Amino acid sequence: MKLLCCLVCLTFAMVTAGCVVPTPQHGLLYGRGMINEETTRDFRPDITTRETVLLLLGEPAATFKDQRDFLYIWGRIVAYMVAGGGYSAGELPIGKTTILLIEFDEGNCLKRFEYISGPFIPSDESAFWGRLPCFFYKSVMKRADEWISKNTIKDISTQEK
Amino acid sequence: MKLCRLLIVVIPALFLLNCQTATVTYDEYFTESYDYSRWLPMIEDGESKRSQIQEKLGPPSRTFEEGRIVTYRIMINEWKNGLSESLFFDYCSSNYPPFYDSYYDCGRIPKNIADKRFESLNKDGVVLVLTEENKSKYEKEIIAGILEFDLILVFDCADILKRHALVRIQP
Repeated sequence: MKLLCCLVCLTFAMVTAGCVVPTPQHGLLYGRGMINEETTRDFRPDITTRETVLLLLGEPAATFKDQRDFLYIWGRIVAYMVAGGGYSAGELPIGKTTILLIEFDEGNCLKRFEYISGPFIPSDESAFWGRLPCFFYKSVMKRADEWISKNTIKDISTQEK
Repeated sequence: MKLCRLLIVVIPALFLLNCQTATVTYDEYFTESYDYSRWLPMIEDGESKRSQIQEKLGPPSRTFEEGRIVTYRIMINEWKNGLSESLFFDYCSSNYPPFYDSYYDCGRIPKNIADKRFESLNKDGVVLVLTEENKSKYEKEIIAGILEFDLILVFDCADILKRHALVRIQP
């Protein structure tokens, strides 16, 4: 919590000092392409099939639970952090990680899907700033993990009944 | 006098036009019809057999629903003899595509560079199917590559291609 407070204050300080320049989402830092919400607009639980999802979105980055859960992940730039001045000025792109999680039921139909996103700063992990992306990335992955495991627990409890 | 005025306007305009570099995106080169005709001519719904496709592309990258759906992660590899460390470094350090302006200009690249790269890819490229086993081997090629796509194939019970799609991976 303290770390989060520090980060919020730091971010605010940097923005007000003019060293963080927000931009529209652009570029692709990693991942195999972004999937915007427009693409998944027509996804309907119990109607949309795994086949349709694959034909539309391509191969997922990872699958879980006997291919019942699909994970797509990508990162885009949303701002630049500018440091220094004159010839010694440098910039660091600040990205946003987005994960699209999709779950199918036993009949290969869509059960639910959700976008989870959080900040990401590509950097050298040995440096001070390098620890931030790791922290942010972990927070996004933790939420993704919760999304998957939440349902697993539910599945197990349903089976038990 | 009129001619003089006209020249005053036209000459700087020509200079300005010359300074502006025409930029393009690779989407303009790698259209779906080009990708199929050049690299995947064997793909035809209701015609192609699973065995024929496997003969050309090898085993798929992944299978779903007991093999009914298969996916091929395909990249067109320009470097038949492998991409050396020094060549890879050149690609990265000179901001050669896909790095060129990808941060600032949404993947737009100078037309002359794109033309050159497209020509080389069209001439020397070979279809490479990426799998979990060979992915790490072609790490550099994946990063420096500009044409990568997922081919998704759905077969019927007689192993004849029922539906397919090509999903281009953004470089």
